[in-house]
Amino acid sequence: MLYCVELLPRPISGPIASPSEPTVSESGDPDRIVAEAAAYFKLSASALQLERRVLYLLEFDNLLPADEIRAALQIATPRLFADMVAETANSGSSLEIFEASRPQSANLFNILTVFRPGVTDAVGESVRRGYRWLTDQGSKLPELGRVRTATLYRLSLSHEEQTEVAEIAAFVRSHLVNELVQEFVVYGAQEYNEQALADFLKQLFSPSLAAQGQVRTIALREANETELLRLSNEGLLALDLIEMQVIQSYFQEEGRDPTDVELETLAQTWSEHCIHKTFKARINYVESSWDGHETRNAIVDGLFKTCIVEPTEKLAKPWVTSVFSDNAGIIGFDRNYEVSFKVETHNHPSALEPFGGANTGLGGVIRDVMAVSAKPIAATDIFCFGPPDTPPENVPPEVLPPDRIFRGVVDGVRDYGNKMGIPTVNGAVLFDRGYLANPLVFCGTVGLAPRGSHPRNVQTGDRIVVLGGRTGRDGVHGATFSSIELGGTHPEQKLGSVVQIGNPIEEKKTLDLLLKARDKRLYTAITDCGAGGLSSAIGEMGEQTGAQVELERVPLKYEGLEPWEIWVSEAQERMVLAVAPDKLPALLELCKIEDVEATDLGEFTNDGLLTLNYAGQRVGQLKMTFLHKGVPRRELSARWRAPEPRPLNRRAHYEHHRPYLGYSIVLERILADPNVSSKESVIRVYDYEVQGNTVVKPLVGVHNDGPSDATVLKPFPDSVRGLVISNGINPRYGLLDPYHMAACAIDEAIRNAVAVGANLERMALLDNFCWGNPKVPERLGELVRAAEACRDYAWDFGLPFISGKDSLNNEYRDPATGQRLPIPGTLLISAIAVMEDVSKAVTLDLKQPGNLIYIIGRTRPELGGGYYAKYHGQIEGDVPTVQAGSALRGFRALNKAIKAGLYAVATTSPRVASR
Amino acid sequence: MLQKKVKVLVLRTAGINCEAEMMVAWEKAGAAPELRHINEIAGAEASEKLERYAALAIPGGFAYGDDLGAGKLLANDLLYRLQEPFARFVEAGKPVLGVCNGFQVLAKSGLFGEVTLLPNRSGRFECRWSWLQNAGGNNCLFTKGIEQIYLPVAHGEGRVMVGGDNPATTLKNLEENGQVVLKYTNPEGAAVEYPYNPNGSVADIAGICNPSGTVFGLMPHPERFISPLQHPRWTRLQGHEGGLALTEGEGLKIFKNAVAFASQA
Repeated sequence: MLYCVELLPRPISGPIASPSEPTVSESGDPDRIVAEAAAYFKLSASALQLERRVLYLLEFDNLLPADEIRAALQIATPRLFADMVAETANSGSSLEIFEASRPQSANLFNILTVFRPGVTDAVGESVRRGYRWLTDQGSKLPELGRVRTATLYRLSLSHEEQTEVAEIAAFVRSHLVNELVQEFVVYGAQEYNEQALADFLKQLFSPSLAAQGQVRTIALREANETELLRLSNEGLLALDLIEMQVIQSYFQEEGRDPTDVELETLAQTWSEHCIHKTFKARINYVESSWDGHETRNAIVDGLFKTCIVEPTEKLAKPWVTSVFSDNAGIIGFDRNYEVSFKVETHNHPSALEPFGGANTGLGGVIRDVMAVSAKPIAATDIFCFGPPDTPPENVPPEVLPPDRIFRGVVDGVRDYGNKMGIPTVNGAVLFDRGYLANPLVFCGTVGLAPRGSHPRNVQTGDRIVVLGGRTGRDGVHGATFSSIELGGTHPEQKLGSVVQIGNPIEEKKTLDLLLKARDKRLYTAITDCGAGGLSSAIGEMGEQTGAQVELERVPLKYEGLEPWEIWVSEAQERMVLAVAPDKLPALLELCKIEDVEATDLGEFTNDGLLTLNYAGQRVGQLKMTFLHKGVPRRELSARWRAPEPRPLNRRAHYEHHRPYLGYSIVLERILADPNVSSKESVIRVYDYEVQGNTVVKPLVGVHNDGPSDATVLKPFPDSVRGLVISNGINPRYGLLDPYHMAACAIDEAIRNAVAVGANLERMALLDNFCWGNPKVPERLGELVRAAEACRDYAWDFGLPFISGKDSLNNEYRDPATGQRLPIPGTLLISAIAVMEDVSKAVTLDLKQPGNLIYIIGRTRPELGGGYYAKYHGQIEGDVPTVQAGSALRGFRALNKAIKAGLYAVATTSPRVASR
Repeated sequence: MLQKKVKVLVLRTAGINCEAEMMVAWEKAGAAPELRHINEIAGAEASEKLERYAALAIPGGFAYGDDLGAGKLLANDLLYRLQEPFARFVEAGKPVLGVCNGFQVLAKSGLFGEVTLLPNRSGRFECRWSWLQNAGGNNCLFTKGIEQIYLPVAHGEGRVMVGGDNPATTLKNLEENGQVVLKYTNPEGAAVEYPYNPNGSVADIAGICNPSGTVFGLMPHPERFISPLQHPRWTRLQGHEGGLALTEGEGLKIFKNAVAFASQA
């Protein structure tokens, strides 16, 4: 039987009345909704009223007497559900509640929004927890079943004529809900139907699928090429023909066909997302001059190896502790501590569900740092969106409007970062038409850990323990999905499952637990469940030993998951530990205190096999060597042709018969460009002060509102040693030449850090490439050029790359026209430096009248790709190039001057407004 | 003879996340803080466990995700899991401090009467520095000797609202009792609008205490201004009067006051 508690804001009268009740949530700001609804229905805001009620739908056993439940609700409502100072509440059977609020007049509509069944309802779980404590102590209350939360909007329009309910539904779809994760019903006085409402509520509580626990065998051995490709496409496996053939011959040798569990395991492990096939591929690279003369024809023996690993290894910095093997890069901080840094992207999920995508994007990179046994101490966020003022007709079909993506993404990062208690201290926001269908969401996390506290030592016989959140169908196929272009070619129900929903408090609990478990040395190895879920996590940890997993033990959010779904689900907030059997009781004891669920799934073996069982049945067995080393190396071809040299035409204005406006006006317009203008409104929604370490904040100056070049953290109260964090990014230069774009990004990241007082002695870089489809030779050619600049400038500046990631296939294909819209090739460089004395830091605000202003370095006529050129409607001109030698001399001179206290102010000349 | 350090319980649970700076603040104020999960305190021995401490602090964060309202579920933990021992701790007059989410917890547990905290008027989470003025005289033990103080706020639900049959009377009583401890001001100390009042609190209220002044809740974070280097403009003040000559952050005084009070008790 379903019951309901309904909360309404209490009207407050008198001299301290509050005119409206704003709320903080990704879509819940009533003022904004009212404004948007008014625009949508072409009414003035006063001709429209919106009321928002919070509903808790509560399931009780049918056998319980109704009186007992009503009495319990009378007790629980003021104690648990309502804030009696500010709210009033109704409770009763759900139909009574809905009957009471049914629309009685024309043009009054009820909009009931809920999370889809199967989507995490964290608040619902909290209700059960809170109700339990009301029960255990004192009053004895009847047992509460499942709980779902819902929101009831009551929208009233003062229209002359009757508005159709379909019109309201269209507004709800475009402004209020995201149907990937939410469902809704709309009804007016006419449409109210008790039975239909009851059915809608009932399906929220019924499992979407009956438990099958079945495993399919796929006839792979006999399949021809067409069938192999069909299997890959229909299964959303993102494997190409050669890879399917390698898998086919493995199973031919094994003398059997694969199960769905095995095929999914291989698809996840071999996905572009997990294994970076493009960066490892052999590339046939041809470069030509603008007029078509071939200037270079070479084989690139793996971009990752030649451009990222080799310079770092050649530099052989003694303070670099871990590169390219752990979940994050690690450098030494001082004698006792080390610092880890990782930046990830979550682009495809953020395009579909901006809040959830960005939310779990940050959640995921935080787990990367937890997976090197570190405490997260800072977060970074760099976003690329379509221009916020893009007219709706210019937004591609099935793509969310850019301002909605912007708002959702910022909100998603705010929610996760603030709730985890990690200061978001550095970032950038960029806008370009190329990001309309493929926004980019980079999230970074910096961690701190005692030296030597991160074990990497799986032993045969260790238990495989999963802890944190439960597993659901959310995020199935995330890893392979990121290897596919967006463009409306995939059935919606399949895409629906790839969206992940975060629960930052679950992750915070897991973090609290892990730091304690680390200090007590309760585990021998740790990794996070990211892309590929348990499949990737356990597959990686057991690579050297072997592992046997009992899939039916995995705790589920709800029944009905097939074994392969359990295995590859990317449900969030889960970590996997290897635990020696004698340490397991101590770990479980800690889990009890921290309220974290931990489950023993099986053990690490010594047979070199990945063995998967479900309810006593063998559902998969793969050789670890094949799983990790079996993927065939890709052969790709790449082309790059230099752009025709065209100088910036500063007379374009006259030619277009527009008046010359003078530098002041040009400057004002550049400052008003959304790429350049202040990002204060974004920065302030992040708690950049939490943990109390932020000594040069992202906002500086007389009014605490100017953008800082870089952030300085002071992680220990009794030491002045600190960390400097900065970034560099400018995709516009890449439109002219990706090589110089990459060089400038590196230079900008370094300069931003140097400007606050960092030196290059202990500075490291991270590279994050976001590109279009690498199978298009021109796209790959640009990528090769950018990567080669990374190789050259890492060496010239003497700075190692300690971590990096690539996200490819950021390319939209219009389902109707087949037209392609790739993102501009985008490289984010993040820099981190250890600073010996943060009390020597400087900020960019001018300190007092009479101080002299110097410029360090030579200014050359390099206006290409800049905002002055953009104002003239061009990108042409000479792209800025980086002279590493003179730049280094400038950095060192500035370092000395700052150390000697000669500078009150230092800043970079920003090429694009880094926040 | 060395005096024994004051033992402070810093209480945490799932989602509390300002415990690190809270611990540092108490240490710098000369106390011996201990960080404990509510699950380590609640239960059969809650009374004995609580009695070992001379003061209690609830840091900021998002306890239980702020589900069911900011601070609500942890407030219920205090009321229905700690029960009597917690009530006795308060009655004994031991200092209790709630910062940000901790303030929301204390408010939702009813210690300040008909007072609650609602979402910011701006509809947004806000991280910024605020000027504050002591409006409660010396009634509150934590703010003795403080006239003005500059502290950061970072919250989405910090708008103080009062209820009761007549909210205006509720407000008047709070002010007359000296329970309105801190008010947002502009740099000159005058009453203010947004953004100086960052959340739209009624009467610019930033912090409230119980009638006896021993339980104090505030939205700003005194524990985030312990070192002069935490000031947002220390690079501007360097070498000037009142600048880095400052040896400690302004927030430290609040903790020192509590330590002084508890060590005399």
